[in-house]
Amino acid sequence: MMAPFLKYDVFGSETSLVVAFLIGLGFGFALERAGFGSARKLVSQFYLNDLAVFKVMFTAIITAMLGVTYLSWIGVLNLSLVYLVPTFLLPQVVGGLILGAGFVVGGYCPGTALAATATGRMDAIVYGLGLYAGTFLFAELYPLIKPLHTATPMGQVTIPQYFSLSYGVVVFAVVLMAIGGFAGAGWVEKWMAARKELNVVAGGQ
Amino acid sequence: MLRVLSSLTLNQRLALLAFVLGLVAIAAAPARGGRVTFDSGDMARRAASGSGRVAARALADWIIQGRSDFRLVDIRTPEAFAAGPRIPTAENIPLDALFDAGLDRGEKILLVGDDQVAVAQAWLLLEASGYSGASVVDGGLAAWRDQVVYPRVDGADVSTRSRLAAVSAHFGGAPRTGGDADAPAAMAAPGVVQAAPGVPRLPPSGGKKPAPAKKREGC
Repeated sequence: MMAPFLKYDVFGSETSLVVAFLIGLGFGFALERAGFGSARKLVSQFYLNDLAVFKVMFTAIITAMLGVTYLSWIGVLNLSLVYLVPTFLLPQVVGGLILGAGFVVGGYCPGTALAATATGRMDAIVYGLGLYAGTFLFAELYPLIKPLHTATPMGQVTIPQYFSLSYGVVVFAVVLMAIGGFAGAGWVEKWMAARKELNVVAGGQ
Repeated sequence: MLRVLSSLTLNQRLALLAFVLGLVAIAAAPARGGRVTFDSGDMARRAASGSGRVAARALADWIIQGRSDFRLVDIRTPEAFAAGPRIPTAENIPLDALFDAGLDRGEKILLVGDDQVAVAQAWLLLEASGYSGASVVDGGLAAWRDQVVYPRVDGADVSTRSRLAAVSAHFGGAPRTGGDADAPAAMAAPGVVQAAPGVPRLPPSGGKKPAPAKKREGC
């Protein structure tokens, strides 16, 4: 049996909806249990107080990456059938800036907003309504946005392809980046906590 | 060694595991695109059943209707494509560039060319690589010429005759009857089939641009 299951007709599109529901259930549960249903927790990342978001996301990335690497290595997963979102450099930089600004201001990213909506948080519900309104606006204004949206197309490109590196070397480099990132994040958190303590002491005098 | 391991926290142990797996993965070479596996028996049965073929006349109807739910791919070399006759709405993707052209698995792809062996090879490559919507224009450009642009109408009844005439007129040709010579080899109908090099494609009569409805994936 080869993966991706849908592409190899192991199950049809109806079953894939059931599978998507179950995966979504697990994803939402994990987000909520990691504390990501709270805008305070998410935003404290940007104040460098609590880098849990960074650590959780990077852990997820390297877990998935190593899983995909080994599954395709032993021949269970056909990587060529895994969909790659095409790269459009300029619009994705612009979109990233908008999403980042929205993340800091609103306190959620789209997925965490939905997880927080499920727990009945009013701010997340309003955020979610904004998300749908923004999507609607994008669709309505698409003729105006299209020149930007389709600018600088690079196709379905991967880092190993683009830089002519071996796949495994990139995998190892990302693992090193993650481990360095975890160590750095721990250090930043300690440093911020010490500074806060210092401020409290200074304020108390 | 064991004592060092047991002194680590769980997070540190997981990081160590990731490091080791990453280090081993340097040797990993997951094939991307190049290698494919397919069920040869199933492919043989499908090929024998004649599926994956579209008649030239059916294609002509689709183009006239302005249907945009398929991509017509001409696999000739760019030189042959630029010089030779082409089917309106066809885009040129040479056989050796088939997998660099951004074709989507699942979209309807019609392959055409002047070399039916090359077209069949392209179809096999696409099918084996999971492009489930690939078909071949039966008979290739020769069939397009002989059945659509310059169709023989001997023995056809009046309504079929007038329909064929209308279709061939749409593509700049004319029906042939028994007395006529063979179809002009070059299909040199000005403006329509033999487009000038600067005008690669012609919009179908419906005025709709042939923009394939791409299935979107990802978030």
